[in-house]
Amino acid sequence: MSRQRTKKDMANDTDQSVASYSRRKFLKGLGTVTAAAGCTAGTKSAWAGATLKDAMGDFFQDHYQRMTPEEIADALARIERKALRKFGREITCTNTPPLAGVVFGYALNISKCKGYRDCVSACVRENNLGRGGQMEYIRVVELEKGRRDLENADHYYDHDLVPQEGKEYMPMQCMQCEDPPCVKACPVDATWMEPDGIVVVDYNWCIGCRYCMTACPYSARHFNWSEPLVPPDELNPDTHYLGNRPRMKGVVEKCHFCIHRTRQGLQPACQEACPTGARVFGNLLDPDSEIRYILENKTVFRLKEELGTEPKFWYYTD
Amino acid sequence: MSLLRFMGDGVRSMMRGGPLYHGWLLLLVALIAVGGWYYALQLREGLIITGMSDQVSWGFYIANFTFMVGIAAAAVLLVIPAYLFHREDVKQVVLLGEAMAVAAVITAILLVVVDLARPDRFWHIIPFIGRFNLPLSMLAWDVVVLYGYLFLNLLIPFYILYRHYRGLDAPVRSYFPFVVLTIFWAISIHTVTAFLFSANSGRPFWHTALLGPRFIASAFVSGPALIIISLLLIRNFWNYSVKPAVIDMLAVILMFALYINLFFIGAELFTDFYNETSHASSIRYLYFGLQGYDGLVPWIWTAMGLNLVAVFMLSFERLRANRVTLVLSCMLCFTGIWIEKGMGFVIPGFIPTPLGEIFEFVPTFPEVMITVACWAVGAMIFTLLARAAVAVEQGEIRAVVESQQ
Amino acid sequence: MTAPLSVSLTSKSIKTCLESVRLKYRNQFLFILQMLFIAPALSATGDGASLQTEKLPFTVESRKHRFDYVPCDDCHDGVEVIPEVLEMMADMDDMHDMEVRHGNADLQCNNCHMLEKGGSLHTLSGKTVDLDRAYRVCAQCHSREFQDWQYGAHGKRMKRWRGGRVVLNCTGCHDPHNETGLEPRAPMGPPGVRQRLERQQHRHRHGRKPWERSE
Repeated sequence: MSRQRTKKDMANDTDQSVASYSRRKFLKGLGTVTAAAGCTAGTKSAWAGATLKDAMGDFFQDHYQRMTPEEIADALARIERKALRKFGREITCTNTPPLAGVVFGYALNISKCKGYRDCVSACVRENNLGRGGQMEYIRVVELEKGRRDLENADHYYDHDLVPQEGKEYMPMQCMQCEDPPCVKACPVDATWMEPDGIVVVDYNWCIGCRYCMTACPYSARHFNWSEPLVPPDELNPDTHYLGNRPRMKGVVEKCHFCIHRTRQGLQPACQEACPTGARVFGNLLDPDSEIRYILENKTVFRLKEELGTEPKFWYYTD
Repeated sequence: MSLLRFMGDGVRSMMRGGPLYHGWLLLLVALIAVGGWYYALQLREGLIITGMSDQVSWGFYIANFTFMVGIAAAAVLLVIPAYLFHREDVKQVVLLGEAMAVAAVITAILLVVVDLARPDRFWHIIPFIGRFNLPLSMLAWDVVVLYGYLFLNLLIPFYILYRHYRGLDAPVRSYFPFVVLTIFWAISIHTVTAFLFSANSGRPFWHTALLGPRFIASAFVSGPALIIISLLLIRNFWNYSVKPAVIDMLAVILMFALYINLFFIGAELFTDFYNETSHASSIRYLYFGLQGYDGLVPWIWTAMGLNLVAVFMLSFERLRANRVTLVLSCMLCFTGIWIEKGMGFVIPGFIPTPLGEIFEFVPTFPEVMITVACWAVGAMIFTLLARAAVAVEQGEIRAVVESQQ
Repeated sequence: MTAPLSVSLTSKSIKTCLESVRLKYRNQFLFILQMLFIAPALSATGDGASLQTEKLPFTVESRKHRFDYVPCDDCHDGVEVIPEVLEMMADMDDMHDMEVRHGNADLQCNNCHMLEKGGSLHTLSGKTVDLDRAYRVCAQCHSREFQDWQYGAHGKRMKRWRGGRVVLNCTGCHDPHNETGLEPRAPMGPPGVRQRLERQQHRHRHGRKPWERSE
C-alpha cells in the first residue's frame, strides 16, 4: 500500500504506478483504527504519544509479510510517533511496494573510483545510520596495483590526496544476491528478497542472533551493538519501513539500495554522491538500460563469483 | 498424588547434604547472581558491553555454546553401552550421564539466549506463533534438536526414577524406542551445531566436511572427561556405587576419541598448509599469527600441548587405572578441547573477515562473568538432578506404599 | 559535485572591465536561441557518431550560459586581440590564464575552437559544433569513451535512474585545456570502529609487489 509522495517530483515517471491514498490516513481521519492486539485503538491523538500502547503494539507486531494493511498502517504510525518522541522530528514512514517489471542492478567502474568515500558519507546521512561507531553500509578498500586479493587491502586508508599512485579503489556494499546466504540463515525469516531484487530486513522482527552476519560472504551486514545515535537535526525524514526508518539496538541492518528513493525513481544516495560517475544503477530487466549495456559490453566481474551467490552488484573497467 | 510427592521429595533431597555440598551450591548461586547483574546491564545497554564487533560478530558466548553442545552429546557414550550392550554396571550410572546432558543442553540454550540481542522478541522463534525458517535455517534446526534432546533426556530419567521411587521396575522395553531416538538425537545435536558453522561457504575456516566428524570426536573427549570426574566425585561424596569398569570404559573411549581428534587436526593442518591458499588465512592466524596479529597463538599451542600430554598419559593402562593421573589427564584434555573448540574455533572463523580485514576479539569482563553464570547454572542443575537421582537410586526417598496401590 | 573547469576561474576581476553584464545577457539570449535549433543542429552534423540523424535519447545539461569568454570575437579578431581590449588588459599577462595541455596531444586553441561564429567549436573536417555539443569534438579521438558515454557506462547520470536521462557534457567533468582528469583531493575519513573498542594498529603487511621475487 503506497502513499502519495507529494514531496517528490514524479512528473517524469510516465509509468509510475498510481499512488493510492493511504487507508491509514482514511482510517485515522475517521478516528477508528483496528489493531492487531487491540492495543492501538483510539489513536486519534496519535502525535500525543501513547508509549505503553506503542510498546505493546511493537511487542505483538507480526512479521511484515504476514501483516494486514491495517496492521502495517499501525506499524508505520507507531514508527512515526516513536521518531517524534525520540528525535523531536516528524518523519514519514511508508512501505512503497516494488515497481512492476523492475529488478535492480548496480555496476561500479573501478577504473573510475578515486577513493573519495563520498558514497560512504552520503549513505550515512541519507539512511539515518548511527554515528560514532562503525555503522557504514559501504566500505571502500585500497588495493595495490598488480594484485586484487582482499587480504592485502587497506580498509582504513587516510591519505592527504586520493587517488594515490599505484593504488586502486573498490567500494563494497550489500551485493543483493539472487541466492542470498543470509536469507537462508535467518531462523525467523526476518530477512528476505523482495520482488525487485532488494534483500530487506524487517527490523521489528529481527531477534539479533547475527547468524546472517556469519553467513554473508561480503561482510555486508551490520549490527546495532547499542542504540544507534542519529543527530536529530541530521535525520532524514523520508523513510521506508524496510529501509532507512530509524532503527533500534540489537538488530541487523544493511544497504537496501535506498529503497525509499529507488522505488520512487530516484538514484540511490551513493550514486548521486559519486562525482566521477563510477556508479551506475538501473533495471536489469530493461534491455535499454545503462546497466544492461555495461553487462553486455564491458569487462565485468563480481566479487567471490565462485560462491554462487549471484550478486546483483558488478564491477567493470573502462 | 504420588507424582507431586515424588517431585516434592526429589526437591527436598536436593537440599540435603553436608557443608561442602551447600558451600558448592552457594558458590554457584553467587556466580549466577554476579552474572545476572551483568546480564541486566547487557539488557539495558545492549551487546556493546561485550567485545564483539561487526568483524567478529560471535564471541565468547557462542564459543562456549559450541563446547557445551558437545558435552551434552557425550551422554550417548553411556546410553549405548547401557541399553544396546546391556552393561548393567553402566546402566547404574546412565541416569547421571543423562542429568549431565540435561544440564549441558540447558546451559547451551542459555548461552544462546544471552547472545541474542533481542530476547524480548523470543516469541518470534516459536513455531506457528512466530515464524520458523525450516528447513533452510541451520539455527532453526539447532533450536529444534536442542529442545528435543532436552525433552528426551528429561523424559526417560523421569520415567525411570518415578518408577523406582514407587518401588517398581522400569522395564527397558517400555522406553527402548526413546532410547534409540536419544542415541541418534545425541549425534544429531552436535552434527547440526557443526552444520551451523560448516554451512557458511564464505568462511573457509569452517567450510569443511570434516567439521561434523571433528565435533563428534572432540565431544567424545570433553564429555567423558567431565563424566569421569563427576562420577568419581559422586562416588566419593555420596557413596554411590560406580563400578571401576565404567570408568575404565569411558577412559578408553576418551583416549580413542582424542587420537581421532588429533588425527583430524593433523589432516586439517596438512590440507591447509601444503599448498596454502587464502582459505588458510584463518588457520594461519590461529597457529602462527597473521600480519602481526597473534592473539590466539599462545592459546592454541597450549591446547595442543595439553591434548598431547593427555593422550600420552591415557595411552598407558596403568596411568588410566591410577585415578589421580586419570583425573589429571581428563582435566588437561577438557581444557585443551575447550580452548580448541571454543575460542580457538569460533573466533578464527571471523579473522580475517570475508573482506580481508583483521580485527581481533577479546572478551570483556561482563561477557566472561555472564558466561560463568551460565556454566554455574549448568553445574547447579547437574548437581541437583544428580543429587535427586542418587537419592532415588539409593532408596533414600521412596513413595509411601498406599493400600489401594 | 563536478569540477567545473571552465575558463572562468580567473575571470571575476576581468568581468568589470569587459561589460560582463552585457556579455552574460547576450549569452543567455543566444543560449535560448540555440536551444530552438538544437534538433536540426544535431542532425546536420555528420561526424560519424551514431546519433547523427536521430534526436538524442537523453538530455545533455547545458553549461554554455555559465561561460564568460564567449563569444570569442568580442575580444579577438582571428587569433589577434582587438587593440582596444588589449589596452584595457595591459596589466594582465594571459587572459585565459592557461596553456593548452591536452594529455600528450600537441594542440592549440584553433584545433577545436572557431574564433568566429560566436565561439563555437569545430570538427576536424570543419563542421561547426555548438559549445554545448562539445562531445562531438571529443568523440573524434575519444570514440570509445564517447560510445560508453552515450550508453551510460561513462560519465555521471544526473537526477533519476529511470525516466528522462540527463547527463553532462564531456567538459562538465573534464577540462580539455588542462590535464583532463578530476583533481586528486582529500578523501572522507576512514571507517569507524565499534564504540568502546579501540582501532587496532596496523602491524606489518608485506609491501612486496607480485613481480618482486623474495630472496
